[in-house]
Amino acid sequence: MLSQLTVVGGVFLGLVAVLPSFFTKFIGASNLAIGGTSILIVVSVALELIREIKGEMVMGKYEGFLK
Amino acid sequence: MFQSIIHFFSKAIKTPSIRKKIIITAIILIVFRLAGHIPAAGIDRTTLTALFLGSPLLSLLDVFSGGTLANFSILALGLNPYINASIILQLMGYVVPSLEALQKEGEYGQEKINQYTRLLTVPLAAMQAFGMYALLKGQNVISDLDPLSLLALVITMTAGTVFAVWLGELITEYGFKNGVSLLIFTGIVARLPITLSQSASVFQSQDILKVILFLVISIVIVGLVIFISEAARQIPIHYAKRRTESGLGATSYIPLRLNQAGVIPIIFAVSLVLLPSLLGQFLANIPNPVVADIARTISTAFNPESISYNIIYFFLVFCFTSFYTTDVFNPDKISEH
Repeated sequence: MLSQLTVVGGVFLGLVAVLPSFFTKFIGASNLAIGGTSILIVVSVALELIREIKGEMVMGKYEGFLK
Repeated sequence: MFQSIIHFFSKAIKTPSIRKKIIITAIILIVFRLAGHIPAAGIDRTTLTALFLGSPLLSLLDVFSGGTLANFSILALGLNPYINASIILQLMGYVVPSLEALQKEGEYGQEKINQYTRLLTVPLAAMQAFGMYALLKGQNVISDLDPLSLLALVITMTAGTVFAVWLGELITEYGFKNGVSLLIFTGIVARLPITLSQSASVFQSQDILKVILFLVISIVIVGLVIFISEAARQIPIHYAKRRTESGLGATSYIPLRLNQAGVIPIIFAVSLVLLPSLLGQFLANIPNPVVADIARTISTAFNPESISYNIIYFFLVFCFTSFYTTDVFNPDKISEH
């Protein structure tokens, strides 16, 4: 099942990475292709950051219980 | 919705340990941005800017230096050599048995591999600095340097890269995890206003449809990325000894995310897919016509707008995501916890 999930995730990510540059072809604005990859990275990093902060907050709660 | 966001952040800032991390990370990011504005010697800035505006490849490369390449600062190469070094070590792990053993060694092995990555970064940075010089000289952005100034340039660039890597690792250690991707993140975000103002300056009223389309696509992409990153299958954990009121019950879950590996595989894929065209551009300036011809073919095949580039890019993202997930999420290891 892990491999199935990974395949789906990988295909999805790959598509999202490539999609903008295909749209660029149709629309014809050249700095869009850069935008796609950048958006992918910015959003993923932001999500990871928030996930980490959330985890840390939960840890803080437990520490509060122990004291 | 906005209230819950504000609530989340105010709570985050009120938690002392998170506040400390935020402050440390912010300070390091400021240092990185400042250092990214110290220009290296001997560069014609106006020609350089024109060159970057005209080439989608170079702008992409700029993204992965952390946004420091376009103004050719002392951090011009940024994190790129480090990323390349990690890719090389990652891939070598599948070939060299002793490295593979190290990768499986757990924390100690990881530490060792990080050490190797740092060591490999230095020669790679020197090579890339020289390559960048050759590329820029071919485009008449930089005048012929005498050997001593060239050496100074290469050493400056290499030192800049090592400095950037050090900053990234400082963030990882004292601030938030994954400092390197955070540095890349700031590079992209910092360029956003510039890109927007450039687009606004050439904006014409008949473009309004394009702009709307662009906005819609951006929002859809952001939504998709969030959807994929947050998608997870909950695997219930059954404990032999633990019982809930309703008898044998699952009490907790392992979230099996669709994308376990996060952002690293994407960064890897992009740096790899940029490599051939960079080499092509570099070799196109060589006097030998056969080599130059091959180089030009490579550059056109790997132009970020071509179909072959996109197909390869897609496969690289896919492969790295799979590799990384099997690395990050090892079922045998999880079952032992």
